[in-house]
Formats: sequence, C-alpha cells, structure tokens
Amino acid sequence: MSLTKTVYNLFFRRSASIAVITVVGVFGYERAINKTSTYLFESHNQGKLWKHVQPQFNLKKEDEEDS
Amino acid sequence: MTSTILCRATRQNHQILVYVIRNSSSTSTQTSIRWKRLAYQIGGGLLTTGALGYAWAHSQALHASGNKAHLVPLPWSFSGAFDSLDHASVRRGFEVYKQVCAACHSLKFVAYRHLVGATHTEAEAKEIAAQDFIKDGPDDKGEMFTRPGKLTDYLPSPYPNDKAAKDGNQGALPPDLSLITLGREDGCNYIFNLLTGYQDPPAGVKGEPNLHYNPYFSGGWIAMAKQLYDDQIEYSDGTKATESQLAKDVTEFLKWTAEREHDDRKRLALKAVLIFVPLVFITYHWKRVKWATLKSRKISFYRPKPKDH
Repeated sequence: MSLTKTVYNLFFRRSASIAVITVVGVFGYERAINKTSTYLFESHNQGKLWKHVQPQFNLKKEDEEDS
Repeated sequence: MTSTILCRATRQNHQILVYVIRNSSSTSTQTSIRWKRLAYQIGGGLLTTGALGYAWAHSQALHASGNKAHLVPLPWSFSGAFDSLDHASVRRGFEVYKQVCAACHSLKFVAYRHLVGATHTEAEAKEIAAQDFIKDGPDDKGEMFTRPGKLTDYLPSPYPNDKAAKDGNQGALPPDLSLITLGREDGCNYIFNLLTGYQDPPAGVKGEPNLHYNPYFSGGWIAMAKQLYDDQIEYSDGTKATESQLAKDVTEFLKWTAEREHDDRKRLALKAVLIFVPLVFITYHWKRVKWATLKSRKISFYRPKPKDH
C-alpha cells in the first residue's frame, strides 16, 4: 500500500509529472523495443544478413589484391 | 466495500436505486449467466475455428485437373515468419542472372542502387554499373547516346521492346523477371522446379518445333531451352556451381527483386509482436477495470412514498 502510494504521489499525482513520465517513457520504451527486436532478428538470422555476409567478400578481395 | 447510489428518475414516477455490490457471493442467477456466457464463448470459438478451417481447406488447391506437374516444395531460407533472405545466396543469384538470364530476360524494376547494402557494397555496385552501357539522351544535337551506367540507372533490358524480344525468340516473349516470384503461383518453388525440371518427353508425345519438354510448365512445352548446367559459371565466393545451386540462388535473387522490403518487413513484424503483445494484456486489464462497476451493480425499481400535500 505504501509503495503504491509513494508511486502515486511521485509520478501520477500531478499532470505535469505524468506528462514528463509519458514523454520519457515513450522514448525509453521505443528504444528498448527497437534494440530488442533488432537483436532478436539478427541472432535468429545469424550469417544470412548482408552485414554478416559482407566481411567475407571484403576479405576475399583483399586476398586477391595481395596475391 | 459497498456503496449505494440513489438516482432519481422523474419518468413514470419511479426511482432507480443502483447498488454497487462488490465482494458479494454469487447468486444462482449469476451462476446461470456465467454458464450462458461460457456457452456463447465456446460456440463462438467453434464457429470461428470452423470458418477458418473451411477457408483453409478451400485454399489448399488440389490441381487435380491441372496441365502441369505438382511442384516439389523446398526448404527456403526465408520460409519462416521471421526468416530473412540469405544474402550470400542473393548475391550469387545476381551473378547467375547477369551471366545467364540477362541474355533474354529484362529486370527493369531493379536499379544498381538497390544492390547497395543488399548484395554488394557501394563501390562494387558502382563497378558493376560502369560495366553496362545505358542508353541516354537526347544530347545537344538531339541524338541518343550510350554511356557507362551509374548507381541511379535501372538494369538495361536485352531487347529494346517486346516486339524485338519476340522476334529474337521464335515468337515467344521472355517475361520480365522483376516480379516473377509474385507473378506465378507458388513462385519460388515454381521457378526452381521449372529450371531443374527439363527432361525427355514421355514416349509417344510429340511437341511443337522450337519447344522444349518441361512438365512443370503449363501444357508441358516451353519455349525456353534448358539454361542451367553444372559448373556453367564461376561464383565469386567459390561455391560449387551445380545446376541445383544455380537454380536455388537465382530463385532467391528473384525473390529479393520482387520483395526488396522482405527483411525489413519481417523485422517490423517482430517489432509489432513485441509492442502489441503487452498492449493486449494492458487493454484486457483496462477493460476489466472499466467494466467492474457495470458488471457488479444491481438495479432495482420501487415506487416512492406518496408525497404529502
């Protein structure tokens, strides 16, 4: 009870504080979702995306130039 | 907690008394309402499942009266809901297109700039573009001229127009390949099966001249001759170019040309799942909160005492 009361007094009581909470929360939530979805997608498709494939070709090209 | 709200309704000289009852034990009426609701939910669920099942069964076309062989489904690298294209394969597929298919088939919706970041680096794409000659103009004298390609150019077509393409192929028009995997039913499986499906016609079957037997083509006779052979080209990444490898890579490349947004789409699908799954729970909880008073109230009507005059 005391915890919910503290949370309420701190964050939800005034319109100004809830507006700030919303803006900051949206920023953090969006960032977290973006990071998580990108991480999941790239780990699920490890070795298939261009960013994983590209280094192989660059290495090959440098080898050819050396030899 | 029990609170009572007294509403005065002047109409019909009745007063409406609204009790808000919480934490009250369920009566037999409420129990029967619950059973009724459950019955509706189960019935609705069965109805929805039945309708979806019926739609699915209809989508499973049997092709029993078709005039081509059934396609063999293949385990594509992009078949899952969150599976991306294999970009090494797409890159090899571009090499196959450039060295084999491009002799007859155009790819007019793909520009060199599309290759950047998908199959080639910017420098490589510029190099590839510069090797092709693009018709441009008119110049100051009003004449068309050719120049080396730039990143913003679209891939040049092998024929200036459809008439010329037909004339060069015994009257058959090689279709543009940009959207071919979407333009044919079960496009990827179709293209792979078609490219690897050339064989001798069954005994006694005679075809038209200049046509080639392929059971995966509608009618069985196709104007395009068999194109892919083992070790026909040399891949830049050293993969052994077997016939099926060539067919698989070029199919994956054509999947990419038709759906260049493919990977972004699936990445966004994953993002949408992450956003909407918590929202479902929040919405459900919010609905329960808002309906709590409505669902737990009781309305009773009573005649007010006659007023003293």
